[in-house]
Amino acid sequence: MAEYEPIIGMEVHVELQTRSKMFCSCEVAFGGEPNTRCCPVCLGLPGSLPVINEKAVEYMARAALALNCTILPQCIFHRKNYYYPDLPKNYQISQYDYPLGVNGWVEILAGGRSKKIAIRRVHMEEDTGKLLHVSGNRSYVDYNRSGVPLMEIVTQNPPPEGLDQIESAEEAREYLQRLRQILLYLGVSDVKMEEGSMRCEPNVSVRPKGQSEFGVKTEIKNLNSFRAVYLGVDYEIKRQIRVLEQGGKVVQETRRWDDERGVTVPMRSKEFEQEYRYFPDPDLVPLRFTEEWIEKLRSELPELPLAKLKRFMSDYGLAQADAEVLIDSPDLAEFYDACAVGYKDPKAVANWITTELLRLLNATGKKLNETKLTPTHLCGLLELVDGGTINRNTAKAVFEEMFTTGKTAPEIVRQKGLEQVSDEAAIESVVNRVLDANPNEVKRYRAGEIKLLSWFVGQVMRETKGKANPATVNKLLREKLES
Amino acid sequence: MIEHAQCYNWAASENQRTAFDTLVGAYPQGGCMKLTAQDIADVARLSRLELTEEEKETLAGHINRLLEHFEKLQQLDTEAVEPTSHVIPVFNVFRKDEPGESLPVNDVLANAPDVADDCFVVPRVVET
Repeated sequence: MAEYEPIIGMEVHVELQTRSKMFCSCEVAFGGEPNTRCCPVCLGLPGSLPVINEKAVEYMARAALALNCTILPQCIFHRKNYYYPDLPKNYQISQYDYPLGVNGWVEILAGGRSKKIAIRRVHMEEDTGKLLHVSGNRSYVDYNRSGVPLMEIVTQNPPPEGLDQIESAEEAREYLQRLRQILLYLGVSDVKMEEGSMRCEPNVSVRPKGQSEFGVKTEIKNLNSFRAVYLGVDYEIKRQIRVLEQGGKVVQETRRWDDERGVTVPMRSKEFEQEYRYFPDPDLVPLRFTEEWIEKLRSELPELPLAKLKRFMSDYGLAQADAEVLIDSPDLAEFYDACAVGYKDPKAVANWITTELLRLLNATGKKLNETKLTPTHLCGLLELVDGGTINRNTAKAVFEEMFTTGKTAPEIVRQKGLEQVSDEAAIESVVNRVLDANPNEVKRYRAGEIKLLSWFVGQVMRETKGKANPATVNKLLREKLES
Repeated sequence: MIEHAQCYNWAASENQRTAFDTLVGAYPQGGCMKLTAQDIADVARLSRLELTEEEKETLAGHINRLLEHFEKLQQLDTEAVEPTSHVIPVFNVFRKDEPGESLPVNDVLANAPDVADDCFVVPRVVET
């Protein structure tokens, strides 16, 4: 039986986080009452004139550069004409033969075999309204989203020399995640798949290994999470292989991912390429970018997530899994970076952040910048642990208090009298008390039930309100029980 | 027809020149040919226009006469002329990203064929 290889193309739409729409000053926001953020421009009323949002162009140019695209010195807007009720003008303002950026790439790690996924183009357009499907034979339309700045990012298959294409569901998901991270670092979008500010339509084809022509492709819609992208693409690859193995033919069509049933189902056949009658929008004059402007934007790009990942691994000696958790949010990465440079054991810091800090953030539903914790405060806490002033368990409680109150660790330890007791004489008297009070347990321990040791440790810690140095407690208990 | 050779005038870097080559190769760049009544019918369908057979024939004639004029224009040597993207020589007209007032919902919905729950109501559409 022939072996098949999948090829995946990705078309991604990203809503920008500008304050106003692409061509008018209606506010950009998520949710809200229907049709409250509309004006003659985004409703396509006759006589209205679109004017380009400068910030949106800057955001998209920044993104194009971060995706390693070439920005052309001139670009123009086209009208893409089609009839659909979510499009009040009967055309979408988009770009055609002169898009903002072309010939870029996004690096993915692909399980250790780093790949540069080729990007064909990054172009500017406007979002459409939202169709709210209701029962019966009527649909409701909300135009609040109509005209929101939208960026389209399309991969290129086959890739040009030196670049790669996406060849598995796992790579498709990673591509999307890397893209999301980059856009998040640039601060141009909140890139939330579940709210639709990042939408992805993969197309999938398979071909017998070694064949150079592409197989027939299908497009998948309704993928609203990274998980759904993975599952949808994976399902579609397997489905196509099954069709071919049974002697059938893959039909070019758009398929809808059914998340509940875990399958793709046909939506409509795409035998004919749609004809959009593109033409330059006469309402909008061309954009021209100077080399200086492009270079200025390029020089202002922040350190991008993958570069940060590699630096955390090489400079701080982190494992990839830990570094991934830290870089996934720019805030967390910045916080970690600030802690790690000021502290001798960057791995220990990473550990505190990925376990304790993330646990508290999740539990309280807060964002890092909404807490009162600072990198200096965290380092201060770790130094107390290192110096033996408090033990690790106490440190967790102190950390929680720092998180909510913004006090420093030494302050909390002093106020609550939490200093670790390492004085052997003091601990010894508690140990003696505990042993005297529990003769039965002592007998059982001496009869071989040595797992009781941790129970004794617990008793001593309780007596000392958790302040005893655990190593000393262990040592003394052993000595006395085994003598 | 946008001739990319001319675009080199404003493509400063090597990367930009490569980019132009890619684009010119990837998208159809105009050109003239005779339209048939079938072409008119296709365009009419895309524009949601209902035309009689007679109108299609007449319009095909009209459009083809227009295209003949363009054919004549194409004989001109435009080697040294920068491609026109817009009829007025104005570039970079922007607005600042500042939100302003939107219309009251009642005005937004004033032209709607049908309204419910502050939404435009249309015949049910299948998802695309």
